[in-house]
Amino acid sequence: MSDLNLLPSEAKFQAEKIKIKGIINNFLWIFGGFWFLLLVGVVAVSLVMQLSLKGLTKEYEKGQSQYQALAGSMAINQKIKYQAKVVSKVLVDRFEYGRSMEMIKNLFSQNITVTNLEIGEKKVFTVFGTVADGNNLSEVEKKVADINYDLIDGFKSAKIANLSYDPIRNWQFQVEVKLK
Amino acid sequence: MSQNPLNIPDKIFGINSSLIGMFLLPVGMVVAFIISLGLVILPRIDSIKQSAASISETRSQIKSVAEKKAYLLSVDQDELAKNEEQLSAAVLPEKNSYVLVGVLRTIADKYGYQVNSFSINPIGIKGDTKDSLTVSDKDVATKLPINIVLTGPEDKNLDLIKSIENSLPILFIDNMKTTSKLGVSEIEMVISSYYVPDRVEYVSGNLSLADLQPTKEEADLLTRINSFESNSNLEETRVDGKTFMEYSRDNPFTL
Repeated sequence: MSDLNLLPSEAKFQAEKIKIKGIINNFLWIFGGFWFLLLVGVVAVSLVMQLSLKGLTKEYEKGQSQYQALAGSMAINQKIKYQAKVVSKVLVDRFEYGRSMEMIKNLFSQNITVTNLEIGEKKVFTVFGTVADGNNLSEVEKKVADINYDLIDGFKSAKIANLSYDPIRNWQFQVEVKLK
Repeated sequence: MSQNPLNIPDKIFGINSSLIGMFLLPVGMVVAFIISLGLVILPRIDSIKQSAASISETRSQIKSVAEKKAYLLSVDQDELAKNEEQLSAAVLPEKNSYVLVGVLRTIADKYGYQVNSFSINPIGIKGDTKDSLTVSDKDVATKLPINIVLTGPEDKNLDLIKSIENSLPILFIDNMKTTSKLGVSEIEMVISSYYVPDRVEYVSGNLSLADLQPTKEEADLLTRINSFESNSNLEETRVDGKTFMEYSRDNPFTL
């Protein structure tokens, strides 16, 4: 109260000053409290996070070591995957002749004898056969026509490459068949 | 009497110095707050963010490891070993065409066929590019072809071809000519198979669960390969704790 000035204007100023001081004090308390809480909060959260991370890292390392213990199984698993990749690459271009040969053998009836079969390039068969009775040659021609008209599944095209007659071996034919 | 040890004038720039003095503490506090914000609070917040990201990553790693562990433990080890054996048998165990002759003789025997003649194609041995197949970044499969002539019952030739096509190691009929006379069939073929060198290391990098689980294509391939019959004439032998393959070098022309 030693600074008190009893002059009316000074008194007014002092009153205002006291009011401002009160506001400043409130600000200091609120701001200081907020600052303190922020500091404590940030430090606390940071510590909790670090502890949590430490715990989780331990848990991960434990799980990882158990997983590493299965290395043998994992190596076989990866070996199988690698081998499967190799085998599938190897198999990708393979054409299987067994089924195709079966189709060609079943193409003609018993009246026609398939004597030889040649496979040069992929999906191209050359069929050599004999026909005891010349009348059955029409069956060969009909099959060739049916293949070319796409009436027989699995075959793309066919052509009679050679036809000859021998009194001993009768009619001999050579048909080139392309598969789909 | 007011105390003024610093001898501050009553007014500074026309403002009462005691009024200015009142604002010094809050201004100082704000400055201290800003400094602490830059030096302590913001770095701590960054560290919290990093920890949160690490926690999230570690949690997903724990989950991933647990899933992979559970998957590996759930796999039937016998089936795994069987699959490995089948796939190993799918390619030639050594870069040697003679092994291929042995395989073909084994198949031919089953259908009453005999090996009339065979010749080893030198192109396959030279490792020409057309006789090799790139199977991965580092590995190349070498194609080993042989010319072989088999003779046997005509009615079994289709079964023989089908058996060749369903055999392990996987065989390729590159060229074929059959001649039948009086129920005896002569089959002249160019047959090949692939040799792939063994890898030292199969596991590379950090594997995900998807890397461990078989894809649909792999599962389909394993089903297909399991239907193939192994005709390898190799026998695994153990001597003094060491395992090796014993190769049969029997005369291929005899039954």
